[in-house]
Amino acid sequence: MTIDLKQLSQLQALFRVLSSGAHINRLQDTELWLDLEKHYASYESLFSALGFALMLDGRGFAYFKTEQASSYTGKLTRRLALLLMLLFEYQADQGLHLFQFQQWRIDGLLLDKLCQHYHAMLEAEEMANSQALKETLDRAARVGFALFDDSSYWLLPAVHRYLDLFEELAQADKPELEQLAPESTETYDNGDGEIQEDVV
Amino acid sequence: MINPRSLVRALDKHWEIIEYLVALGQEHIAFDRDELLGVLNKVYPQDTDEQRLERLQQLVNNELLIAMSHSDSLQLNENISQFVSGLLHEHELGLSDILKARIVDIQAGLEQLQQAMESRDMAALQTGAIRIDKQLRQILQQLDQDSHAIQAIAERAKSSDERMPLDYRYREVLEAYDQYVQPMEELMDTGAGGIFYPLLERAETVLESVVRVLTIQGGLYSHQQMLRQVGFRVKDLRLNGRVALKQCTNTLMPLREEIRRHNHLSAAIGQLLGAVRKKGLDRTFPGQCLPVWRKERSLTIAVGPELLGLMEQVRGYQSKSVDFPESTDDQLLVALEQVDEEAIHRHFYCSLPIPDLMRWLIEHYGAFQDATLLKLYHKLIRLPDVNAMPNQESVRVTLKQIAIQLHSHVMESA
Repeated sequence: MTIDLKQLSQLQALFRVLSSGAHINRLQDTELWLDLEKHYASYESLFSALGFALMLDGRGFAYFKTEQASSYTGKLTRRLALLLMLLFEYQADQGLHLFQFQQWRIDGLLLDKLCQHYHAMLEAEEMANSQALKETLDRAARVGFALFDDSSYWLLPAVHRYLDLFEELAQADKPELEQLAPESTETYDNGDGEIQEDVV
Repeated sequence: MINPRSLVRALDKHWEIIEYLVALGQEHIAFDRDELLGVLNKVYPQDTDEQRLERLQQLVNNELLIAMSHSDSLQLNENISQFVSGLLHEHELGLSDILKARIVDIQAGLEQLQQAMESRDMAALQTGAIRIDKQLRQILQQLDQDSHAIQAIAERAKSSDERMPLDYRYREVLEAYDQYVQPMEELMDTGAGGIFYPLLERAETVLESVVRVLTIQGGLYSHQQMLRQVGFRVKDLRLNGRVALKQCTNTLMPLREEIRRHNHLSAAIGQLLGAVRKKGLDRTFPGQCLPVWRKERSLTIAVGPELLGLMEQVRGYQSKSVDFPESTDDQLLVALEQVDEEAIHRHFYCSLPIPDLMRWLIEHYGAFQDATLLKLYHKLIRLPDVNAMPNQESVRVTLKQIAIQLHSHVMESA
């Protein structure tokens, strides 16, 4: 496959943003996004040849995938996960549509409310004041999960990465006995007498 | 009965399965052996069948699991079940009536305290204080457990299948609200209706007055201290009572009023937050499952402004001169003297008993300097094999340069 580098007008800018770890969001980085979508195949093969896995999500965000977290990003991503969970939990309790999260105005008032409502959980992560929450959001804004505008924060589509994870983990996490039913009947057939002897 | 330490050690060894069983205990009373083997299979997937059987056997031998009477099923040891539930914040919602009973007992305790103070019966005072403290502690613990139980109820309602009809899903929430939160609100009403806060206020005044009386009339410090500690507990409860109740109301209200929006995502988040509350964030998101991103930052090193300032200072450096004080000619030093201590000791032993050591020294060794003489005096009174008794009357002795006043020692051989 030949890639015409002249066609890739945003190559330099795209690579700079993506390789710094940031997420590109469709509505915020319009020019980059359009170019990326138009020449997706070229960009993808070019970047993968350089050793970067470009991920483009139809819901409007793109990023370089990586498995390794530095201690800094590891801590930040956990804090951000908690903050997002609490925020979505709070907004659900207020009766808001969760998937319209891009329209939520996240201002100091809301952050204060979060601090009050979920004090115990935030305190366990040493972020039980709105200043700590603001710092977390500031850092998230730097890598394209949020935007600071009009003295409030706004979530960006890249947040879907977390939401997908939440649903996936919750699915895997339920302690249940029922799931084991078929297996236990099997044991019943094979080794019940043996078990009784062993245990009693 | 198994040795408690072995039980704790076994708990440590089999923690994973016990934790799992405690979580299951919300919906099950006891387990069949087959069910337990199934759970073991899930918790320790790397074990072979024999290892699983062995582990089950160990759980039974160590009395972590106990056979139910009249059946083959096994249940968790009640002690273990309560202990682990407490650690994992898995609690059943308490009854508000229990709180009422405790309040009555605290009232009785306060009466006891006042009576004991009137009759100055310190033992009764002590038991009264302990009785009140115990109830206060139990109330604090119950409030904490209840707020966790309420959160668990809310989490269950939130995380259950979103297609389930609301009446069915919210049954537990509504029950909890009507049977717990409302009676508690009546109890903790700060207005005329509530009995909880007036009681705490009364407890505080009684305790303070008893402490005051004890301070004025005198009493054991430990008693005062104990009453003060009970006082701190009352203050703690005053603070925490409303907070706990408010949290319960905050948690249940959106569900009760059916404001909360439900979908797959909110159910998932409700469930995960429950896990965070019980296990902490680290254990809820294990390993590296969270989204991460590249973090590359080019590093440049440049000389900072502080360093430039420092260099500027170095360029214009001028050494500071420090004047040392002039040496003086005063001969403050005491000239050394030759003292034949052994000869003096011999002489001293010969002269025993000596009625006045200082006079003896001046008489025979008055030629020495004052400092030497005093040194000798101290050495002689410390000799191990003589008795030195200070004189009843003090005398004033003038030496060469100084005068001293002392109870000169009487020296006798021991």
